[in-house]
Amino acid sequence: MIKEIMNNKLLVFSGAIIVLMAFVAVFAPYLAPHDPNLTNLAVRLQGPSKDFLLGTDHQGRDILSRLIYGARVSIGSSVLVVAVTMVISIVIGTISGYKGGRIDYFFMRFCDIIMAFPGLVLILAFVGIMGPGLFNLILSIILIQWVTYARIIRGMVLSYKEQNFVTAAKMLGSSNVKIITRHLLPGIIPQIIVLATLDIGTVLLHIAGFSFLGLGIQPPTAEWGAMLNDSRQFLRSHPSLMIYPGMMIFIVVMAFNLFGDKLRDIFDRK
Amino acid sequence: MIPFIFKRIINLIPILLGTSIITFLLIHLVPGDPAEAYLRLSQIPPTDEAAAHIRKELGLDKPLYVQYFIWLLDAFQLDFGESFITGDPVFEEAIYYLWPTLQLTLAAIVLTLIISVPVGILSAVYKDRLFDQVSRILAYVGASMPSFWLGFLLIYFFSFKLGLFPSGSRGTFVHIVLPAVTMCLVYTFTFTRLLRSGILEFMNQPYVMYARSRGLKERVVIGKHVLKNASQPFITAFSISIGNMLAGTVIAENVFAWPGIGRYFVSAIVNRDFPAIQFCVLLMTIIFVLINLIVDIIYAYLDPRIRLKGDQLK
Repeated sequence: MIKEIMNNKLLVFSGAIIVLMAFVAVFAPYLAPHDPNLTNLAVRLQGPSKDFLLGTDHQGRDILSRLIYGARVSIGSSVLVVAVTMVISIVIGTISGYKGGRIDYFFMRFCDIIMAFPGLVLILAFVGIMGPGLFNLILSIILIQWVTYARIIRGMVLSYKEQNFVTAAKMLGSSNVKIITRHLLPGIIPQIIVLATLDIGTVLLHIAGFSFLGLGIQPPTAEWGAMLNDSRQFLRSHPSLMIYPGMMIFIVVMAFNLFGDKLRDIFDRK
Repeated sequence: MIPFIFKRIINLIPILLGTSIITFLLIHLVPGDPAEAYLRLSQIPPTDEAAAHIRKELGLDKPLYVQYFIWLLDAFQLDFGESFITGDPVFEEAIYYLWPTLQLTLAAIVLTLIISVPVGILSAVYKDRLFDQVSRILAYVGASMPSFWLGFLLIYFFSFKLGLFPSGSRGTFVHIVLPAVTMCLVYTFTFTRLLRSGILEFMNQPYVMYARSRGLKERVVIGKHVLKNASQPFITAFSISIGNMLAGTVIAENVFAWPGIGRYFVSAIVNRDFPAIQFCVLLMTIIFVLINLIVDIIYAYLDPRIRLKGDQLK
């Protein structure tokens, strides 16, 4: 009983953080006190003040505003990656599982090849070949990520396909499209949403990590990983430059991980 | 055992050839003319004439499959071309940077094992007690921690504030501590949880109960009977992670200015140094494939079913 409430508490708590962050990301232009890219060397590397609540960075940009706009890029691109991945893998996974035969064989062997390599190596290789930049990074992550989900979804479709309600629908003469959209997907999508939530954190870590390396978001765009990279030279003198963006990544990833985990617990019990 | 290993090595050949074709093609399908990229990097004005000359010199005017065979032949002689930036052979450069990376990865692996095995066992033994709860929370923290941030925090506290470890570069033994900790922390707690659930799964098996009823000490029961079976999923996850760890050195190397292959790779990407990128991709693939081979051999050694099944298939 106590554990139950504890679980739900964590679910509510992490959910609240996610909602708050989403709010910040969406309404960044209204919330940010300054222009995140406005440089002013006269006020560089200042501590917290009334004007700059969290101080300024090495180019005199307001850290709070950059953090707020950073939420947009970091969370926004992670959600985008996961959403596109889901759409691709739902389409391919369903077709593969439902149709079977040659299409299935082709897709699954392709998945085998991609999954044979560690994801990080592949993303690094793709970005290496296509060149640094947010778009290429997002594309690389999607190219690698969809494979895992396509497999999981295929498995789910295979198990649902044999069940009575699908057979019944077939007997009644429903079209394939109708069976998939009306009977198969409603059972699959909630489980996929849980997986997706769990994955947003990982994707966010990837995007921030690659931006930190200078392979993702290019300056001067405010993004948490890139901000950490900027803070490097001032690590000794101004550690706050590195603490804030890292803290943001940590909190958001943690919130998504917790939320996904607790959500899964609830679904698993059913 | 020997035939099993031999067969696995034969299997590697098509994989490596396939990888070489893919990396070769991808580089050549990239938008942008490699000849122009070369000229730009060599700071020669990219006129049509100069581009044509370079195309001829680099063999870019020949059909793609001829280029591939030339490249492959050179590759067999360990000639993977010269870096666009430095003009030195990429093979020599990359091999020079490879050793520090392997060193760092190895240190991280050892550290991960030293921490995660005992903590995993203790978390299983003290299930749901304080020790287990703390390790559960740490697992969450570890999974959400950006390793580059962790690296900076470690530098700030242990290097700047306490002065215990150097903040970067390579040299004596103390230099490796902070980067290795940065790399291993993410994995350590995941493995801890994995080992814990593995042990708990086998804890109530009949043969364990039998061992207990024979009056064996708990330490012997867990150490001898449970751990051997429970370690299988742990080894699987571990072997998968070694590849990711190796790629993960990229971040640790950048944070700690560790002169390894990861940093070399990243600077090659930023500079669009195609021969270097190509070779790095190939090198990482080869290393990963070799790790898989070693893990398979260890598996076959631990679980006779695998190598016997392999023999039957022959």
